[in-house]
Amino acid sequence: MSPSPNPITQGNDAHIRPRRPKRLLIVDDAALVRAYYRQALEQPGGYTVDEAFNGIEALEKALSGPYDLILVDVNMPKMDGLTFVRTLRTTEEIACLPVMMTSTLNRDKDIAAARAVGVNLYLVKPISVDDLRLFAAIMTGATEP
Amino acid sequence: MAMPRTGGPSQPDAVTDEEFARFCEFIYRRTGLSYGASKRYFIDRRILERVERSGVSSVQSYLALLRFDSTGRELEEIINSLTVNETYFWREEYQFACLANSILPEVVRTKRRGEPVRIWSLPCSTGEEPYSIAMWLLENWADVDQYDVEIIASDIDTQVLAAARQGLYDARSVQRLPKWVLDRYFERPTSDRWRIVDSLRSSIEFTRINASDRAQMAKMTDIDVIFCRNMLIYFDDVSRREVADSMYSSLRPGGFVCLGHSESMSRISPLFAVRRFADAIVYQRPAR
Amino acid sequence: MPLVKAPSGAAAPGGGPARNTPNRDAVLADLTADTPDTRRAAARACRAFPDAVALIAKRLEEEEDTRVVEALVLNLVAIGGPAAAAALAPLLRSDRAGCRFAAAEALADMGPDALPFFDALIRDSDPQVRIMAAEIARGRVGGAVVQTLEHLLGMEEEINVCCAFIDVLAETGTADTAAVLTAVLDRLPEDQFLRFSVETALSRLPTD
Ligand SMILES: C[S@@+](CC[C@H](N)C(=O)[O-])C[C@H]1O[C@@H](n2cnc3c(N)ncnc32)[C@H](O)[C@@H]1O
Repeated sequence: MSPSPNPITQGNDAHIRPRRPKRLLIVDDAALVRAYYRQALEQPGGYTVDEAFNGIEALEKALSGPYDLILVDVNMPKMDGLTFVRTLRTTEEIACLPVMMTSTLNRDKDIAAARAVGVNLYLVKPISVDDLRLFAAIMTGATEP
Repeated sequence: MAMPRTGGPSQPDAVTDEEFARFCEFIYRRTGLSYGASKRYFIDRRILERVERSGVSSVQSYLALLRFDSTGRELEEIINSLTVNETYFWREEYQFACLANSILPEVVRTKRRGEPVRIWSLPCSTGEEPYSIAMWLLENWADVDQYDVEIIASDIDTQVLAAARQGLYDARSVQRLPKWVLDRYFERPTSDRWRIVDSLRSSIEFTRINASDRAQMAKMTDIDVIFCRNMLIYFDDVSRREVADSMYSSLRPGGFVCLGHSESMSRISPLFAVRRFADAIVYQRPAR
Repeated sequence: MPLVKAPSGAAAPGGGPARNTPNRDAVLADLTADTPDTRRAAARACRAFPDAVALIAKRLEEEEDTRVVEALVLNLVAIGGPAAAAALAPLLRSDRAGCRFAAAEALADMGPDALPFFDALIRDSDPQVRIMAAEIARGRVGGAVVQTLEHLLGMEEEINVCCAFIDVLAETGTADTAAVLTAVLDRLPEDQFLRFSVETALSRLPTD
């Protein structure tokens, strides 16, 4: 077996995949966004993917985890993404989960608000498949940043 | 539809991935019922049954029928076939286990001496649920002798309430109960009838309440645990939120709500905190 | 027996007969009380005063506590009418995500009273407002919301707004929606998410 190449410098996205299956939770009220993230990350990325519709469902799922990474939108019904992350960070069993926030909101204050509640990485939509895979790999520790 | 159906080639016999996705999204947004891919076979069967019964020619037309039927009748039909529109003893018993093992131990931690534990079955239908709670606690909650437990059971329908007070059941209702529970809490007026013993019947308070009536709901206060199972799925978005808002006010701080299997608060209301216990996920009014 | 029968009738020690109509000034003053419990009680009580719509809406802009926000929003939906819809519409621009979506959901739940506000918000110059306004179209506002979305999708330049419209159309569209979706791909620069949205929506739309 050849030593596994550095996925980033390799630049070939087929190699940007975790060494063992990592579990992701995708949280977005838009069905098409969830489907897009799933197809980007599940098969080629090798991740196991679960979905939640909003912050409340995400908390239910996160508590039933474990997950390696949560991808979460901001604008969602009943519980928005910022409230979700704030609650997550104060819920003992799941407080330390890495969170990647993806949103259409692109102003500095939106990003500052996300950072303030404990979001680890903020990406503005639309996001390419390559970027999704790259950042998911970095965030799950599947590769060195 | 008047056309006789022959089950010819026009009758669909499978549900595509896209139709499944669209259906699940619709049902979740409308009812709050949520199903994952593991329920695929079950859901497909229910959809195809309803396609056949309603006489439409394709799954796509069925989805359109569901969406645009302003009477809400087809939605009710599909909810009934997705859930079990019949109540019975020990239904979703893992929640009773959760009640005795996790919820009540937490509830009584903040009780003063002599303060009752108040449990509310809303809706109670013909009584299987509140009686199940009572029997389960008497049998399985270690501390049951140390507290006064009040069980209140409500429904909008006076006929089911009358039946609940009578406490007379057939074999189908009691089939999941172990024999020793039957022996201890039931009489047998005839060979195919089981009746709850008087002492148990008379210890439960049955009262008519319309969950959507804010004034009636407001009279219920200081509740520790509400069982609200298999009712909100029939309500529209606003009505569900209103009931959740009323339930919140009826609970004492730190009190709990248990919803039915496949039901989730996520489509209903942001008021409650999510709590995961060993046996179940339940919802809590924050203590403050 | 440890089971004791609850007091009958109201079945609650704290229950008893319904209280008299609350004092209007006291309730409205309590809306800004310090403790969230008092504010929430006031928020629930002020449903008795439909003319307080403007005040409720103003509170909604400032209120941070979810439990109070929920009670206020439910009031506006219950009071209904153009005044309540008018009070909700500006909240789609709120800086707080929870408030934006609560307002959009409330408008979606309101029925035809929300329609004129939908028609305006969906054409707003701020793309974030257009995205939130699309949520209203999932509700039962009636009218020609699907056709409105289709029409505007034909001119929309922002990819994120297009995708928000497409997500709603994938759910509510008809066989006629397909042509509009295909046209978007020809008109706008290539984007993976846009392409995926269109193709998935096409596969989910009814064909007859
Ligand atoms: C399917 S049964 C659920 C019974 C039981 N909780 C269970 O899960 O087995 C639904 C019940 O809800 C009651 N119901 C419907 N609308 C109601 C309302 N607005 N207030 C109170 N009860 C209501 C019906 O009368 C019926 O008995």
